[in-house]
This record gives sequence, C-alpha cells and structure tokens, in this order.
Amino acid sequence: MQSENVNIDELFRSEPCADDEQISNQPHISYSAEVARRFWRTPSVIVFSILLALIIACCFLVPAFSPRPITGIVDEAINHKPSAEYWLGADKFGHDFFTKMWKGGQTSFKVGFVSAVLQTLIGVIVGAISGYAGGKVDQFLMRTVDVFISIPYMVIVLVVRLIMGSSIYTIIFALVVTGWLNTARLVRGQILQLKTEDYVLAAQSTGVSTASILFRHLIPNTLGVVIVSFTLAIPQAMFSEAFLSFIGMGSGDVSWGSLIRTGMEVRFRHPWQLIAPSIVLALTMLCIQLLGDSLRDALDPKLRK
Amino acid sequence: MLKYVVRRVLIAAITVFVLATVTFFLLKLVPNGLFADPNITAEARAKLFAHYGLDKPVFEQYLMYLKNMAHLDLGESIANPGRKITTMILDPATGNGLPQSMRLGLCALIFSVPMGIALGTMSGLNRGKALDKAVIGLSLVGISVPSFVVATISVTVFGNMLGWLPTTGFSTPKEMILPTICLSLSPIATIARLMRTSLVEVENADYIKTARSKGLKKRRIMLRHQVRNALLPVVTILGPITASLLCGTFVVESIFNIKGLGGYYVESISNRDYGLVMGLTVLFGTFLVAANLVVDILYGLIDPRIRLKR
Repeated sequence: MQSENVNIDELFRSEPCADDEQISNQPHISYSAEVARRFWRTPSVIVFSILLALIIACCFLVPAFSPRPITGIVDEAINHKPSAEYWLGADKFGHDFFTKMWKGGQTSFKVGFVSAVLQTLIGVIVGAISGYAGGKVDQFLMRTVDVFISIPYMVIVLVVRLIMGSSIYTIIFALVVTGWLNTARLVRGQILQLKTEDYVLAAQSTGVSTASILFRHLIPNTLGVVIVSFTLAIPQAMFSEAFLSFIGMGSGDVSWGSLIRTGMEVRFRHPWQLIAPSIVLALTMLCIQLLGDSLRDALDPKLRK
Repeated sequence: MLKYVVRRVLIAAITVFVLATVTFFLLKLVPNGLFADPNITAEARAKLFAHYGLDKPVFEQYLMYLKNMAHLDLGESIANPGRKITTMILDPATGNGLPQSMRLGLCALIFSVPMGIALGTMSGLNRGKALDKAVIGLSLVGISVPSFVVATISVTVFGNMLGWLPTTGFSTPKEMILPTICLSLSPIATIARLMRTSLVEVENADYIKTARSKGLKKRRIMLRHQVRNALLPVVTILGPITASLLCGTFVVESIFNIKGLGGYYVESISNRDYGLVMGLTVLFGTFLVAANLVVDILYGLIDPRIRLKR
C-alpha cells in the first residue's frame, strides 16, 4: 500500500518547466478587464461615448443654466428667428428652442433609464425563480409570459393611460409591464443551463440557502446576458416614449417626440424646430445602439474574432 | 406536430381571452367613468346607462360583453351615437379603417421581408467588403432613426419641396410609395442585421465543413446550406416585426392622412369611447396573437427541433 501511494505521488509530481514561469509572470487579466479592453479597442466606441456623454450633459445642464424661460408665455420672443441670443429661434410660446430641446431630452432619458432598470430587475428575478424552481412554478410563470408577450405594449400604454392619467409614470409603468418579459425568458434559459453546474451542486450540498444560491451564484453568472438586454431596453423605451409623444399619447411633458410633432406642423416657417430635435433624437439612438452592439460583442466570447 | 400546433392554438386562445378580460375590467376601473360630463342630468345619465347596458352588475356586463364579442358584435360607439363599432372598423362604404391599415401593413411586409433578407445575405456573404460595410451602416441608421422622423422628413422633402410624390392618402400606386417605404425602413434594417449575424454564425457549423470537404461547389453550399439555415432566426422575428409594423402604421397613417385604424384608436382614447377602445384593443391583440401563432407553426414546420423540444 505504502509503496503504491508513493508511486501515485510520483506520478502527479510535475516537473518544473520553462512555461510555468512564463505563465505566472504574465499579468492576470480578469474577465471584466478583458471585456473593457475589447470594448474600448475600437475608436468609434470612444467617439460615440463622448458624443453620448455630451448629449446627456446638455440635456441636464442646458435647461438648468439657461437664462431664457421655457415656461409660461414670453411675449417678446414669440416665433423669434434664430439669432445670437436664440440659437434655434423660439417657438410660438416664446420659449428658447435650444433650451427646450434639451429639456425634452430629459424626459427621454428619464423614461429610457428608469424603465430599463425596472424591467431588467423584474425580468431577472422572475426569470431566475422560474428557471431555478422548475416544475409547476416554471410552467406557470412561463405560460404567463407567453400570454403577455403577445399583447402589444401600445395597447397597455393607452389603457393604462386612461386609468392613471397622462404622466411620465404612466409611460414608465406601461413600458415596465410589457418590457420585463423578454429579459425573464433570457435569464430563465441561462439559469436552466447553469443550475446543473458543479458549483451549484456543491453549494446545495453544503446547505447554502436558495436565495443565496440564486443571488450569489446564479444571477451573477447571467450578467452578460442581462447587461446586453439592459442596453437594448434603454433605446427601446426611449423609442416608445418618443413614438407615444409623437402621436399625442405621451406624458404631457416636453419631449423629443412631441417637439418633432409640433415641428412638423410649423416645418415650412420654422424648419429648425423639426430638424434639430430629429437630429438629436436620431444621434442619441445611434450612439446607444452602437455602444450596445459593441458591448455585446465585447461580452460575448462566441463573437470573439 | 399536431400536438405542437394544438398547444400553440390553445395558448393563443387563452391569450385573447385574457386580453379581453383584462381590458374589460381595466376599463371599469377608469376614474370619472362614463358620461362624467356635469351638464348631463341624472335622469339622462340613467337613460344612457340603460341604453348601453351599464346599469347591470359588472359581472353580468362582462358575460354580455364576452357573448357579444364571440358573435363579433362590438356594440355601439359612445362618441358617435348610433354607429356600430364593427361597421366603423370595417367601413365597407368608404374602405377606411381596417382595410386601409391592412393594406398599408401588408405592403410594408411584402416589401421589407425580401428586401431585408436580400440585403442581409449580400452583406453576410461579402463580409468585410465595401458592400457589407454599406449595409451595416444603413441598417444601423434604419434602426436608430424612428419611423416618424423618416416619414416627416420624407414628406417634406419628396412631397412638399420636390413635389415628386403625393403627401396624403393611400389609394393610387403613386400614393402608396412613400408610406410603404417609410414604414419598411426599420423592419428592413432589423431583418438585414439578423440575417447577416445568422449567416456568420452558420458559417462555421459542422455541416458546412462537411459540405466543403465533400467538394460541393461554393455557390451550392451558400444557397442550399448556409442561407437556408440562416433563415431560421429570421422567421422567428416576423412576429415582433408585425407588432412593430402595427405601431408604425399609427405614425405613418397620421402623417400621411390615411384613414386607418390608428387614428380611430387615438381618437377613441381621447374621447373615452370605451366600446371602441375595447373593440380595437381586442382586435389588435388578436391580430398579433394570430401573427405569432402563424410564425410559431411555421417555425415548427421548418425546424423539427423546435416542435420536439416541448
């Protein structure tokens, strides 16, 4: 017995080789550092990040510091032509259009960000519970998702709007109600794969609580998928908000959608009131879409070239 | 296969039922209910309530509503007294409403699906070349620019300024060009992108390697193996695309003054015309559910893995 043991030890004793030293000398790159490296590699990502940061900064800083009011009626500035003082002119209420346009962006970003956060949160929790619990719970939750996914969000927005009145919360509520479904499906699929992994089994057999397994072990491993669906949810929500404001079913606050609508009506006399918000909205969408794409490519090892 | 279809149909039916029920009870929750106008006397209100069957208990109303809905009777419009909602939606006399919206949506679908697939295929098979880059760039713009921006700007440029195309209506072929293109841009972009990604994914599959090692011609591998398999994900997205076309018709209809359902829907919400809201909500929902059902069944037919999985 003794000699056999020694033999086994001998067998597993590895000879130091030149490679070992090389490997240990290489700086250790964590997954997130690797993702960041791949994300920032392309120059266009840097350009679009700066552009997006600039747009967001304008949305929140310009209305805060602008000396020209955008509430009430400013008689002396009504339909002012673009000038050194009013860069994009003023609208029929005498509001400086440059300031108003950025104010409109606030609504877009608020709706986009808040509803994306909420719907991702709900989606992750429901998806994780459904995938981990399995059986009847899973059946019930997924059938519910199946049913709700076919209901167009617009219908829910409009019906919710009748009940809650028109406000930014109505829109966020309706977008969250319809938006979490896809995330839930995605996360469930991931959890189904992950829960058979050895580390989950190990956690289960050492008596780790279910909540802890879910939140400490499983959900963190789905983060890649979650981040991607989150970055997709933001422009989607902003799109929906702009669309609803455009058809006159928005929150009632100034927003890019409603500005484009009024811009359309006055497009022959004041073309800037149509062109400027259209450009800013399209640019913002382009930035977010592009950054989301790059982030997805950076996170997804399958797409590594 | 039969089991799969039955299952899908069942889910679809339940979905429509849930939608109808939820809409009904949600609308009952609306504050300041119907006929909240203070100018209406109590007596008149009671009469109106009786006329629309609103004096009965809620549950009885619900059963009535379900029964009528099963008979495709959506009742009378409140904002337009005396007009049946079904005739408003279908409107055989003027051809407005549903037929108009359907034509617009179908035109866009017929235009955008082959177009998107063709662009995506061209780009995916010529990866890295100028054509590929052009398609990627265009599709990114197509996805980023909302349809209402495209529509407003193209109406102004091609309609008002250049005068090439009419800016309102959707009856003559010439009138159909602009609305169809405006509505199609974002689906074309979505389909092209998806087609490209899925072509790239398929490229390294084992069966492609097998086909190559068998010495099949490159063209044959592309068309018979690569493109065919890459089409699968595109089929799944047709459901969501139909949904987005539905929303798109709202905008395009309102910009081009097309008398479709979108206008009715927005109007019915502003007028608090509950019968019409309910009818249109259920109609839109049913339409989408049906579209998803068709896509699901199609997918099951094309890909045996899907129908066998569950």
